[in-house]
Amino acid sequence: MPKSDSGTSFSSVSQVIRISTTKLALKEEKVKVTFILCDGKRIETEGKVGDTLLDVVVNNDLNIEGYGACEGTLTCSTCHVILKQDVYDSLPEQPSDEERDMLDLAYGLTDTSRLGCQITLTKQLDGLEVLVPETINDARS
Amino acid sequence: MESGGVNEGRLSSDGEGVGHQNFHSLGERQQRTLLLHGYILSITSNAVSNATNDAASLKSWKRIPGPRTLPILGCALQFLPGGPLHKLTGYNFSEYLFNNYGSIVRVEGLFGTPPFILLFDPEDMAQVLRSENWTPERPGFDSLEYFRKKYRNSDPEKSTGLLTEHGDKWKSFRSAVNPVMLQPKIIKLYNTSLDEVAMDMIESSRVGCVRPLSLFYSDESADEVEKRSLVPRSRSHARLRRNATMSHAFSMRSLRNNQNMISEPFDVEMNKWALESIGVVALGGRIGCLRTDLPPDSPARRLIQCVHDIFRIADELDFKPSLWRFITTSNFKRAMKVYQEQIDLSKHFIQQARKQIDEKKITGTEEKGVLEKLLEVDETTAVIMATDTLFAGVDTAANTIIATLYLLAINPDKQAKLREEILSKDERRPYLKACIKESMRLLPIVSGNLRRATKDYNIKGYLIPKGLNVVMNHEFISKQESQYDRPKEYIPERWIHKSEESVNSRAHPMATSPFGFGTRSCIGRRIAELEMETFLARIIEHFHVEWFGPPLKQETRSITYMGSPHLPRSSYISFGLDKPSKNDIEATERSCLLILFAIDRLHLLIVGRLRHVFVSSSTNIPTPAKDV
Repeated sequence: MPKSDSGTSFSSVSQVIRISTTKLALKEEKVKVTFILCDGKRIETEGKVGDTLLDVVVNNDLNIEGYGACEGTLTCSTCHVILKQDVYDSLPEQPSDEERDMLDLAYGLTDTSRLGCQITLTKQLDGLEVLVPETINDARS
Repeated sequence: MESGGVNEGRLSSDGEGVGHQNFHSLGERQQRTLLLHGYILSITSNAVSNATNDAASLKSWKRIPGPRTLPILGCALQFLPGGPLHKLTGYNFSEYLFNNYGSIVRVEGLFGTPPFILLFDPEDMAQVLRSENWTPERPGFDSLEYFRKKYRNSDPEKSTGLLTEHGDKWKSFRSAVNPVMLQPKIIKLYNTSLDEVAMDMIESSRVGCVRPLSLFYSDESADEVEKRSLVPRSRSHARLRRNATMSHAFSMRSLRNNQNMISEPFDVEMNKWALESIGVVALGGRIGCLRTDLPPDSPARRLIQCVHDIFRIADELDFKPSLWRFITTSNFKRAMKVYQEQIDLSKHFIQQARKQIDEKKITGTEEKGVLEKLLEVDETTAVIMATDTLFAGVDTAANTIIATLYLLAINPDKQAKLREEILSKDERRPYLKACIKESMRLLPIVSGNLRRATKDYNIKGYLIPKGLNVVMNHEFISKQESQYDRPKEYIPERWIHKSEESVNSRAHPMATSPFGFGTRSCIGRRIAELEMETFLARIIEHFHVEWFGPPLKQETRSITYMGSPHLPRSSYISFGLDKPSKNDIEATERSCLLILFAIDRLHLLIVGRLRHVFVSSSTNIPTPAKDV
């Protein structure tokens, strides 16, 4: 392939390989997660530390209609969850610009809304309870 | 409609419209017409079979107000001279419909093309977009779909890519490419290489100041470009192009001090940048189209031309009334030719890239391109995705950048504010993102969003049956006072969270949707955003951008291009050197680098949605299909 005239060559950031072994040690650690659906139904399940809430729904085959339609690519807001204030505040990562943009499109947005695909389980989140709001304004159709 | 009876039987038996297997067992002409009638027939059958008790109280979609229609001709008469829709395009067309018929409008097709329901209420748009989010159907590339599925005699089991697939085939393809193409964290790894392209572009612009003669091409080569083009252009267009070229050369020679000009048309330069950028991401290496001596017949230049041609010809076939579904028109033949050419040219680059991949296997220090990552998953998927990326990522990104530069040029205060943010070297650059978002609100390259309903809807008391095409009119609604204060003004602050302007916004979150919403939104969105942010930041860091021409006009050719062949050739955009680097000697005299806006063919962006013209004086003849 011809190089550009300025003679610069292609280079880019190489993927950072995780050196820490922390993740491996924790790999099999599981935490309890409860999804409370908009009709009040509770789904109690488990997730691995390091998984996202979306992973938990997919891996456990939870029947939450339409959840995570875009497969965690931050192009929809169907994995919208509402957290308790203290949990919301305790999360290590603030929502990114991309997540914020999608949250704006979430149906029934609240101050403690996040996207499930962006919440990574930690040991501290054991016993997490999240509310899954109605996702589609579908009442009329 | 000659095969209507047969098809109706087929449809009512499976209730799903024309299935792919049925489709492939039909003859060629039947297939072409079915692509068309599939919509209408499935509407009829489903409207009857799916109507529920609730739905019985709803009004029929046929009673939705809209321009008067006649059998077969649709509302064609309304568009003829003397008719109310004559010469109305894009935004003005939408405005006319909204003012005359309200927030839901029915526009019948011409010559039996499918009818469209246009939505103007963002809440209704949200209802459809949210409901159609699992395997959304987005028609609109009918001739391309025909080419890929039938004309090429491809294996009906194999996927033809995101643009032209629907249902489960679309879903499995999308799932395969999603992690590689859309994950923000993965895409950000291309930051360095895209910045390299941006800097090369800036440098080559500067180089233009000192090496003017190597930059312009002669009259003859301009003629050659015309000859090679598969799609005929008007003589005035060719003349404009020549004049533009000559004036470049003249200016560069005589105005070396403070008005050096780049001789290449600005839109072409932006297209080169877009192709080079998308090449880095898609193929993992440099295409090399920023070279100043790039011959007009080089594969890169031909690919750029080919993409223009595709958008132009698809507009003729799929968005204007055309008989290609019934007879082989000359446009149809040209379309098949350019579709094939695009595949051949992409193949050339993909083969080069694969050779490189094989050679460098061991090093592995660079961020792999999308092609290489997908090759590890599936070869067919990789090649199709790379081909589509090289098609969809060129005019789209280029035109969005042109629009953004234009808006920043005519809003110097906003430009200054952006420059301040960039020079602050802060890692977070919300104003930069806001400037691009606001430009896509005001001058979007696609005017709306399209869905083919996969179930019945109740919208404004009308039963919208499964199978009907629904158009979300984002561009129109994005410019309404009902959504934004001072909607015609360029105010990036609206997009800054918690700023005064954003507080004043009444905008429905679905009002502006430049990349579409949900699972079927633009697959190249993150790549495009990163490309544009990187390049725009570098331009504003290095140049003062000014605009001296009349207001920018737009032209619709499937997507909206910035500029039109009929702008006076004196309009231009200037890039004054703003922050000269220390080793940049000639910059000390703040020489002005003028880039002539070669108006004739300004180009733009995106996949998967709809088109419009924005300015009334554009000369396109509107058609309902095109404008929705």
